[in-house]
Amino acid sequence: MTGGGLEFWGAVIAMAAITYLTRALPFLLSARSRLLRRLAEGSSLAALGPALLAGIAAAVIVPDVMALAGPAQWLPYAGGLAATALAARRLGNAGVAVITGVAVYGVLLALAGHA
Amino acid sequence: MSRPSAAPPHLALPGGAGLAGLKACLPVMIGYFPVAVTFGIAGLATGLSPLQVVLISVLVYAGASQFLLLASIKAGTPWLWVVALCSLLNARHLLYGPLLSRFLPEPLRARLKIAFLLTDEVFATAFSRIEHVAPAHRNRWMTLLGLGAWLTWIAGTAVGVYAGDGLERHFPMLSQVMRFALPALFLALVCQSATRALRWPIVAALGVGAAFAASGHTTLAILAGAVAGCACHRPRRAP
Repeated sequence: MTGGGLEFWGAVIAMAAITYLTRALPFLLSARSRLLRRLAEGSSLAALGPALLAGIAAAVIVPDVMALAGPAQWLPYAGGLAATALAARRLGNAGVAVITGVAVYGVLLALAGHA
Repeated sequence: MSRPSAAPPHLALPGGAGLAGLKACLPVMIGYFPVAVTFGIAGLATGLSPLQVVLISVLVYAGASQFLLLASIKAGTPWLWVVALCSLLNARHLLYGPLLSRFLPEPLRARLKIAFLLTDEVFATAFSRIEHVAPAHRNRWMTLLGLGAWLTWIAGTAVGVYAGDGLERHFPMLSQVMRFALPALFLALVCQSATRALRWPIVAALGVGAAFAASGHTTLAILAGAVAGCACHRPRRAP
């Protein structure tokens, strides 16, 4: 796929429609929502969302980690990830966890730069 | 979990509910902004025009899918494959509606409007707080929560597109630090979803995903991680 032309806009419109449908469909299928709830609570599909998020996290973090060179880069990265994970578990808020992680990463990066 | 018998006074008024919705949205906004700026910068770097990048944020409004789109343009992935992956990525949203449904206003029209704004973070925030909002004002509260997040996402993308280059040049370290928001966001979402029952599926998804990503197959890493996670999950059987 390239960044221009009908193919690009077709993909964008299809992605927008699919994204909206996945969010709206459960409300349209209110009569069958019991079925969806059962799927959410009692089958392998319950693991799909978190597993997808974990797969994406691995796909985003691993290439970053592989590009790090030396302790001056990987220590701040590891510290930032640890702070994010800790904040997410303790505070239960993804936004605050991201801010905490980014702040810790920034401080450690600055310290490593001055060391 | 204890449930409040009545909504706090500031949530009992329509205006208060809207303000409370925006207030609840604040952490989401702070988390979204740097990620959206990063998306704006990355979109331009992929060769898209500023308008194209901003319109992707306006229309698609799904962070993971949007970054997948950029990666696919870079890699020359066929668009049908991209759309299929996007469907898989968004399949988790199917589960949000049934969980949130009992708290939302009855009219379908209101629900369909809210559905557009229902991202992972908006769902998580709503699911943990909406029961404290008076039922009559939940539509307003939810709409403001969702709109705040959506507009922040668009504004952040626009800042990345139109000022990202200057930010990169004048504050190179700030740009580097802001790029960390994306891995941090996904890690935070994984940590939040890691309940006791889902611990092993998540560990399996992370391990398999990491192995594929380390071998250079980042798109496959997402799929393989999801398959591994589902395969490891043992649903509880009803007695």
